[in-house]
Amino acid sequence: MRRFLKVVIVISGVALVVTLAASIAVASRMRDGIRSPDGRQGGQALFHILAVVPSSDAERYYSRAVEAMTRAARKRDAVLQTLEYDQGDAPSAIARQLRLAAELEPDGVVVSAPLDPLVTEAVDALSERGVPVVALETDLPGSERAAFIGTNPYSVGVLAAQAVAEDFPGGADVALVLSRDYADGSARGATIAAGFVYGARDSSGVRLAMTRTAREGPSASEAIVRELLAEHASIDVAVFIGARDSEGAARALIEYDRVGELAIIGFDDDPALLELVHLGVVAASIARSPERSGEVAVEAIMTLAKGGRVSAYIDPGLTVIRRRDGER
Amino acid sequence: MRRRLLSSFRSRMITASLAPIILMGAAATFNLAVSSANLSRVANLFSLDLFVEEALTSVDAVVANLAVYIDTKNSDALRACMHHSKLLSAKAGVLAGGLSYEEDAIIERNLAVLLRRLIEESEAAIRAKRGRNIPEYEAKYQDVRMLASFIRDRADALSLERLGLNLDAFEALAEESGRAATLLGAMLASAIAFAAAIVLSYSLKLTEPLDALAAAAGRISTGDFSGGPLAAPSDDEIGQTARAFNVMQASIAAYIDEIRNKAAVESSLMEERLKNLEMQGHLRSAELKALQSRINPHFLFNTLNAGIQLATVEDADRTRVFLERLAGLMRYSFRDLDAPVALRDELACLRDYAYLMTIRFPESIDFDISAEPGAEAAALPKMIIQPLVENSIRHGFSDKPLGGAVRVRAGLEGGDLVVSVEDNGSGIAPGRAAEIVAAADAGTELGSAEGGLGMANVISRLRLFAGRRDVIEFMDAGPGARVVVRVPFKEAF
Repeated sequence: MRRFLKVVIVISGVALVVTLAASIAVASRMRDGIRSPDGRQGGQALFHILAVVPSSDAERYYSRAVEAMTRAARKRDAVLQTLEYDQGDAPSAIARQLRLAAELEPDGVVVSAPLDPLVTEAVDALSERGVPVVALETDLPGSERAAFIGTNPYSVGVLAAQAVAEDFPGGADVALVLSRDYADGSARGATIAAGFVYGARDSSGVRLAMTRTAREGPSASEAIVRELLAEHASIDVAVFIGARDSEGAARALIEYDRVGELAIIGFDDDPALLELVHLGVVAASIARSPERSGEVAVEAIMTLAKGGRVSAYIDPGLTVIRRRDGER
Repeated sequence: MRRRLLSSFRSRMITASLAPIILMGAAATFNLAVSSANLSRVANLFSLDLFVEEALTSVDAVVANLAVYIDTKNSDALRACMHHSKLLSAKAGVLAGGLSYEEDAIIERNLAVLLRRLIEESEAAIRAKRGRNIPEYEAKYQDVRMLASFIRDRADALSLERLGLNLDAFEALAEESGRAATLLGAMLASAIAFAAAIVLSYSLKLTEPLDALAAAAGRISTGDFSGGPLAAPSDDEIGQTARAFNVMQASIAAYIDEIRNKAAVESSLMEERLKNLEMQGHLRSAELKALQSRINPHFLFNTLNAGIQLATVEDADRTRVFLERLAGLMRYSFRDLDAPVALRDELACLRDYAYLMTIRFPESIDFDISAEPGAEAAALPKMIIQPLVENSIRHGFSDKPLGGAVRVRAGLEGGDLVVSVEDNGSGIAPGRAAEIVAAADAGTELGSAEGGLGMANVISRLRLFAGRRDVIEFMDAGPGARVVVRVPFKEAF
């Protein structure tokens, strides 16, 4: 009996102490879970950077770029605040965000918006207030933006042509499908096409047979794929300059059970697209680097905020992703 | 004292009982404090929402009253506009913090900046109105409206951000609350088991020694001290009681031993006294018998001396010797019976007796008396051997007128004086030796002991002298009888 009681005392004593310690730990976690405004962590920033960018799903280009900018800003004692707009928003809504940005008295603004007079005017207003503006990925020619950090569309075309030539050494007819982002009134779409033609000049038989722009809407890429399969059987390769369009086209091929009948060259390195590359549905993808772009944008803004000078055009570079072990 | 206090059974029991209660109390207090803090923080979050809502009300009031003032130049509207501007200024001061990395703090800072800008622009609009600068106050009024919409947007963003934070906090709270409730239940169960086991253990610890104490007390009350001391390993009240009980038990046992020893000593003394009384009784009996045989000894000695002188005068040497030996025998027999004598004296008396018997019965009995060197110094009661020889003559040779022989030998054997009286007479009748010993055991005397001391008396005195019972042995000598006396060797004074 004594022995049994001793065992009970030891076990229950240990259990009591353990549960007590665990209770204290849980209570502490509960306390930490409710953060009071007085208990804000992370210290104080010296610079305030605003990013006016389109909203983006996680792992997509702008989401990754914002994350990279946040990290880069933090490294430079700056805080990055995003003022997002929806992809389909009118230029006036984007311009309003830029006016709000101007009222918030930031040290710099990173903007990625379609070329529009309202946008340009808002960028100019910012610049007049002494706020440096850097355009990210979509250039705003004619505005007072201090620099443009983004993909050189000509390089996109060249790389796409080289990717097609590698996959089709005997030649191929290519359809170039531009995303709606490139239907912004700028010459970017034409520059991509020019780059493609230049890139294909030494490849025997690689020919830009047609160009399309994916219209607004969720089934735009599917419609183009269906058109190419039904009406343009001679097209061997479709080059989609747009991540979402690339993924949509690949999934349409799978759905129609026509994988292999039309080769697809995609754009960007979203996880879903990467998976399709690895599955062999997408032959290759021309990938920008949102991380690099974001970091370069913040670096440029910080330089400008401190009174420095930066190059007006900064190209963060491109890579080609292929099926072979995710080779870039 | 401190150690005593800590080792006290009461204090240990109180400590053991209080320990889980204190632990649980501490845990409950901690949980209560954390819950209160959490409640306060949640309330603070709501108060922040209220704060922003009040600011928005003031913003709307500034915009509305500014519009009224611009339209009508109404003083009340201006006063209201200024009043709310002042309120907003105060709120902007509260919201304007440092440039934090937290999203909600950044939005609060946005609000502070926008509120300040709203106040500036509304004041500019009022100044323009007073200056009648229509394009200016219209433009400023539009700026105020735009800033008000920005403020509302930012306030919505702040509400959303805080809603997210509050939801996160609520989720964390809900998750951790369930965990905390489970842990609290487990803690309660552990504490109950712990407290129950402790109380049970201590009650056993308390009652087991008490049971042992009660059993030991019961045993001792019956006079049984074989249980040994109680175990008293602890220094608490029970241990002290057990130790005190052990001391008491030892004291009682020692006291009882002492009483027993005293009783044994007293019993031994009583026995000794009884022995002495018995000895004295035997001596008195022997003396009485001796006295009965004494007929005016002075007269007898004087008469014998006269006879000796007469025999000397008449040259009757044999008569003189005869009378001298008779007088010696009588003188020896009249000596004090209480004191032991040396064997040589006893043998001298026996030789006198043998001479007289030889004169009385010439050529009838041949006496042979001898002792080993050293044996004659041994002590033994007076008149022991002569009665044995007399019995041999009286009973052994009653029907043998001639050729009788009595041989007396004394020697030392294993620390004892051994005297044997052997005759060649008719021997001891069967059963006679047992009768003699039984008479000695019963303290009586057998018949036919006239003219001398009886055998039972001889045996009783030998036993008293030797301090043991086996002092005499009767044997058949074939022919004749042999009586062996064996007493411890003591040198006579």
